[in-house]
Amino acid sequence: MSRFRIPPRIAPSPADEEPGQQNAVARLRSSREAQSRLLAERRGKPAEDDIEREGLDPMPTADTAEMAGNAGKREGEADRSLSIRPLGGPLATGKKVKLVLLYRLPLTLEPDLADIAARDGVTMEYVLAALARQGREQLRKLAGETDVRHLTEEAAGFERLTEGIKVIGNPMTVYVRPEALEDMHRAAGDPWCSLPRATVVGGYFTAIVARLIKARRVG
Amino acid sequence: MHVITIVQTKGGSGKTTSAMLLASAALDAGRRITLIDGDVNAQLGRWRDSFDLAAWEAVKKPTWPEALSILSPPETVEGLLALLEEEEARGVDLVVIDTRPGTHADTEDFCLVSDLVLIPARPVFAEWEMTHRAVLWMDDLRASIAAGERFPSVRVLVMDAGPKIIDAATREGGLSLLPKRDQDVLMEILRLDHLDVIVPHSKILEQFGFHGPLGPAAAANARTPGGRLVADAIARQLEVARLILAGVDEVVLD
Repeated sequence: MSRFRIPPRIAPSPADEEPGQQNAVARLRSSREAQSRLLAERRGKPAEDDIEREGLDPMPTADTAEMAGNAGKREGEADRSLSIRPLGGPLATGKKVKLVLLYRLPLTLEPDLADIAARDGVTMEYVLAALARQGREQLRKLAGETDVRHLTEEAAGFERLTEGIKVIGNPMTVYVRPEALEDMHRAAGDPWCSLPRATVVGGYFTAIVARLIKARRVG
Repeated sequence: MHVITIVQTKGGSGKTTSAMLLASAALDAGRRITLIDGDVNAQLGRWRDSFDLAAWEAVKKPTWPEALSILSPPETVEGLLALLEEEEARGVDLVVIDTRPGTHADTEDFCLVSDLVLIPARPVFAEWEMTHRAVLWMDDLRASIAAGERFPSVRVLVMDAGPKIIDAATREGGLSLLPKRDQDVLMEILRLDHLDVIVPHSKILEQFGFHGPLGPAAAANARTPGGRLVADAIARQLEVARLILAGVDEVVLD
């Protein structure tokens, strides 16, 4: 049986109801409610407004502009990140920073990956994805200089690798504590945090995953 | 194979452009992709024709990528399900369905067979309410199917944003530089579940029909003397497209 199917309906289609106005009325009401809320926020609740905005889920931070570079930008795009950063500034609020990394591993680790995959009867892609998830957890837990320091040398090595000798991994979202992020930049000789965050954190993330691969191979 | 349907009750919000961006990024990632044009305007359906007819002058036009197919939608639901099976069987990795503006039952069928519904939203005052409506429509659709049945994830994609909007969303203190009504619009859109990327306004995206898929277009321009600037501009949009695909992957693989 095909996995593609239309699920059974327990209520009429919202689109079919449109001519009867039932849903149109509900949607209009909902839109009006949203507009009223906006007006209320605008008129009399600046404090609440601010609190609500600060409490928003941190916005995404893929740092495209950092990854792509700004050379030759046009149409007002110069020096602008195409992806979104936290409105409140994550470093200021102490929230974990969200980044999208395109993590890569050196080809030298490919035999280890193949060994693990063959031993456990899974694919290399599965091993990569599973270890990346574990690595993401460890990255999220890095709390400061002490945690960062023992990975720095390895991470710097991965940062220096050129594209041509890496295995392409998958893009994935990671979180890192702001204090750990600052320490990573400092360890990379970038105390002003001007280097692309995705690159700096990517080195550490790769270092963590590489250690996991080695540990798994031994175990 | 993953199926993505692009929905917005308002026309001109970037549905077709979103489909073209996804196609470009998927091609760039070496995937096979099929686009289904369910829009009455058939802009997506005519993409290959527009590209073939475009006069590239000094730049040698690349051939249309074999891994990118564009199909018309079947007339029945059964036909749609069969088509998806066929596409999966022939190794297609991603199917993107572009839909027509408005609230239509056929669009709902497209949504119900999808892994993700993407709602493009331009961050302008005239449109946020329509975006809100599209999200509510999806909520209603979810409520109309039996409990426990699979329903696609729904995400908003902010499209065609100007520099001030991007500043507001990406830079500390940038929000305060926006007029109040634009602040409200941006905040309202970003309150909805959204992909982690903003698509900036770009001439390149307005000329998608001319350029065709972005990867081959960037490569062809880069090979041509004097084509470097255009190649760079296209490559920047391809970078945005990659981020959209990464966000989509994150949702559908979750």
